[in-house]
Amino acid sequence: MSDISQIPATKCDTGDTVIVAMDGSEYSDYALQFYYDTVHRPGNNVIIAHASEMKNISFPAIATMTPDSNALVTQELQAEEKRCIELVDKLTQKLNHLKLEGKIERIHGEPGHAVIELANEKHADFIVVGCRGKGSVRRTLTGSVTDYIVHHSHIPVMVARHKDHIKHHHGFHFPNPFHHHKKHDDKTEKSS
Amino acid sequence: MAAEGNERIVLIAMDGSEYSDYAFEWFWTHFHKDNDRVILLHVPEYHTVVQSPMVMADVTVITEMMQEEERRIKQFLEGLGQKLKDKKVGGKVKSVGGNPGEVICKVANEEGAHLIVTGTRGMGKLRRTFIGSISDYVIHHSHVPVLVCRHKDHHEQQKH
Repeated sequence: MSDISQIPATKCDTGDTVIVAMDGSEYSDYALQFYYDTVHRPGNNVIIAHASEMKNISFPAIATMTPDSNALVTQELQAEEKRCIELVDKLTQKLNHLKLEGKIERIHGEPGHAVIELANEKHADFIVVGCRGKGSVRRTLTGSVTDYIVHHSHIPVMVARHKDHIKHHHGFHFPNPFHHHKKHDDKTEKSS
Repeated sequence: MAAEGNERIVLIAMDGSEYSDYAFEWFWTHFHKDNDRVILLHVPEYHTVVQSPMVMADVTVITEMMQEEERRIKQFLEGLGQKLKDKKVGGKVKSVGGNPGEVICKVANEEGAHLIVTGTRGMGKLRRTFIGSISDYVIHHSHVPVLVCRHKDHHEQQKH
């Protein structure tokens, strides 16, 4: 295969280095599944990047300056740690289930920026992301982290969209109190 | 669903710019698999011709310009067909008029594409954005995964 790549050979000399950004949401699950089913080439070096988001820690807890405040903050930090460990377990299981060799790396700070830094550090060939994540406001067509990565990445980015991801959006709409939107189920099996 | 052996239908948006050429080559080096079917989609835009200052002048002038543009497009499409032949890949070349972002998404649906490939910028002159308006549209509206191939030049420009 002719090599047009201007990046020097990485550890795995036959395949590409791929960063898959995952946050535990169904969207990034779908991104990994799609990558595995449709894109993965043997020899590719897959790195799953997940971010711990200290933003989840509620600010009011920190703001209270009572003697208990340390305990509250510690609890929140521990809860976040626990979430991260659960996520890593889940991701490890997924990799084993797919029989995909890959590393899981934890990244820190603003997720979009951290994914790009990791991609630079690992000399990645491309990045795979879901079209949105766990936290994204559903009114947008694409999540903010995905958007950031697409606009700032120096390397190609694959955004794993699926038509079901769009179904629940019609742009802006006024919620009808008599009509409940069904919770979006996991429809990864629907991929063509 | 098995990984290998399934045919993938890949739609690559080509507008004649170096960005889409780069996307095509990058796709070939890093993504392409043996039983891919590749659709090269061109969305010709005639409005650039009609909006030129000559439009007030003469019907024959406009007609000539349109014909010239059609010749250019035909040549471009033949070039695309040759690209597919050179890579020995099954597929087709399509030319569909309309709003490029919408057309790309629509044709991807019609053809049952599994993946859309775009460059980051096209023929437009506006350089303030890191991603062109059409790639941006496709990323937000596509029903299937989109591979956005940033041209290596962008990296150098962003260093400033």
